[in-house]
Amino acid sequence: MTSKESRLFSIKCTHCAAPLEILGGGRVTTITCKYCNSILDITDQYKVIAQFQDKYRPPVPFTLGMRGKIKGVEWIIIGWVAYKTIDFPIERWSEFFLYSPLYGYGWLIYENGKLSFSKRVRDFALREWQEKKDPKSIFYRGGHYLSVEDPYIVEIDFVQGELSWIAKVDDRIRCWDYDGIKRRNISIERSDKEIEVYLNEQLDNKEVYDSFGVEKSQRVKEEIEGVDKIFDADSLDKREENISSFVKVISILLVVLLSAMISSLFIPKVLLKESSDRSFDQMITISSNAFISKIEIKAPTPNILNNSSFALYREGEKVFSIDKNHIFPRDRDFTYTWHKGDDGVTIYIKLQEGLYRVSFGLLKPLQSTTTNKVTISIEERVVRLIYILPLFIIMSIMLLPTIKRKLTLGGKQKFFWWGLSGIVGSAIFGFGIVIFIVAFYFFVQPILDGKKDWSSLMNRDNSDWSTWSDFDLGDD
Amino acid sequence: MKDFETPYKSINCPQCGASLPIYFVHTKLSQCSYCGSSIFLDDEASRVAGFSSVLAPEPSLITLYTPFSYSGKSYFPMGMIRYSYGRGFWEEWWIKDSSDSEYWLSVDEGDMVLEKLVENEDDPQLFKDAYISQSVGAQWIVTEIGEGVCEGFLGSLPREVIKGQTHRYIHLSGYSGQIKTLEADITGMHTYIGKWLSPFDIKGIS
Repeated sequence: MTSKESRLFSIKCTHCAAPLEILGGGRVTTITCKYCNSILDITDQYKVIAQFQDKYRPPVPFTLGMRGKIKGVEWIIIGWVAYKTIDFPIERWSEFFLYSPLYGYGWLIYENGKLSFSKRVRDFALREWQEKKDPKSIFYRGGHYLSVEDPYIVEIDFVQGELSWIAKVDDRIRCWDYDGIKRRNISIERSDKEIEVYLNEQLDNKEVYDSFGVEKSQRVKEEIEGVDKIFDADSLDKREENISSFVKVISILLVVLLSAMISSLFIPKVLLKESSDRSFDQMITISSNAFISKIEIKAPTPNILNNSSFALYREGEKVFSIDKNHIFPRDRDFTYTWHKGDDGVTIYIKLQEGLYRVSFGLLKPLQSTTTNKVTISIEERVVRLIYILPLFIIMSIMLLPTIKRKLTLGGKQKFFWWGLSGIVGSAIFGFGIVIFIVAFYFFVQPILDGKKDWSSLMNRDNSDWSTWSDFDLGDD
Repeated sequence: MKDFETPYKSINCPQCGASLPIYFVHTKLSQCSYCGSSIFLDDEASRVAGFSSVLAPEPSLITLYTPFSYSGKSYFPMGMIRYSYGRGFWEEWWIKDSSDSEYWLSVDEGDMVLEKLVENEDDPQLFKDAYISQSVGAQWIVTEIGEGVCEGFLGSLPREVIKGQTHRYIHLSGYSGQIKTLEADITGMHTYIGKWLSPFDIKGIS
């Protein structure tokens, strides 16, 4: 076997005897004579199998035999196919068949003055695409591609040089185009015999013209107007960028929320925790304006709570107070005090940095026992999960399609579904555990202990449930 | 990175006595780089095969005994078989990765397919009646049928090849871009499953 360089050889057209040079590799099967437009079958003694006589020859800046670099690889133009759409408005473009001994075959596409490089890919999930029947969105090698127009049919208008298949006049090909970012495009082409997938990438015109030695007078500037069937990438780039920005913003918010949720577990600082059966005053210092503070008052019975009053003073001025009849300030956040049947209250309040005096009062002193005490606790830097958690879940759900897409692209679709199932399963399991503990604590344990019967449980319920739904006065 | 270039062992060519590095434990056939003789490795013994092959040098992205990387993984080409299909040829490279897993890399005019030998599960009868676009099992579709003639080999191989023998193949396409190749020669039918590689993603390792 001789080397590839020496396999480049010349023949005479079997129709017009013009000299023809065969430049391509072993997969070339036809050559079209540039003088008489006869198509010769290279695999069968150069028999004439068709002619493109009298066909329209479009003006193009490239000719067969030109050599140049695309993507750092030297290519030689060995063939040329001109296509046109069959539907109005008729569009035409040319595709130049490229050959490199190292990289095989590719296409230089010339349309409306724009140039792009196209190469067949064989790792596209073609079977899945076929089963989905004209999907509007596809993924390939880490990229997302969207269909921007309906499939269209093109036919071969003109052929010259070598090709790796037998191209005949008016052969029709059905095309599906999907545009991606970075001026890339996936083209799926189906003919009578096969279906192939190509990855197209728009090129810098000047670089290509310079590399292939195209005369300046031959160079055609990109047409601004007119339909560009190969690429509509600019608009798509912007769309994809917007989606990316949206995802980024959501991701950042999600991280902030996650940080807030984690910090809620560790940051809260107890400023005061006092159990007392008599009135007292105590000083506390709020150190940050960034968070809210939580005040909890818990009494053994509703009567004792109703006997209590609580107030906060800053620099001698009352900033907050509450008792069974009044609340101060009475505004949008604090509209009413606790119910008479409650034995506890939780207040969320935004307090400015500074020194505060806590004043707790009892109208009547309590009998001094170990359990007969009112507990006051004040925490600062509190994050309320009741608001953050739903927001976190909503944002996570908004990101799910992106996460799924990323995992799908990385061939980790199964991981996504298993992960999602795991999260949902864990959430259901966790919820079940909470229900079980609550049920056990309130219903089963008292019965097992034999301390209470159902009627006493029901009486106790009022106060316990009011504790559970602690009077929520504050807001974030 | 693993030192691919350290041979697993060395033997002396029974023809000329030159040192013959063996890079893989499963090597069955090796070519002496000095005299070109084909050496069969049979357990601990070695003997000269009945032919020697001298292949014309061809430009290629893959070079014998020169590691390359693809998608962050390193490979080491240990041997190559060249098949002719008349007007051209394709090459089958026997390569291993850094964990000593062996693969076959098919290179045909810049079209590359990386495959691994798997157990046969298809009926060898396919070589008699397969046709393009035929469904094979639930997953595969026949995309190409052809044959080539062995022109020779370079380096080492895990199996016997004979210059001039006919090699028949069927390419099948599956889900997620998977590619399956059925091959038939004098040793029987072999099945390989793998994926297509973009030649632009092949990087040399210096």
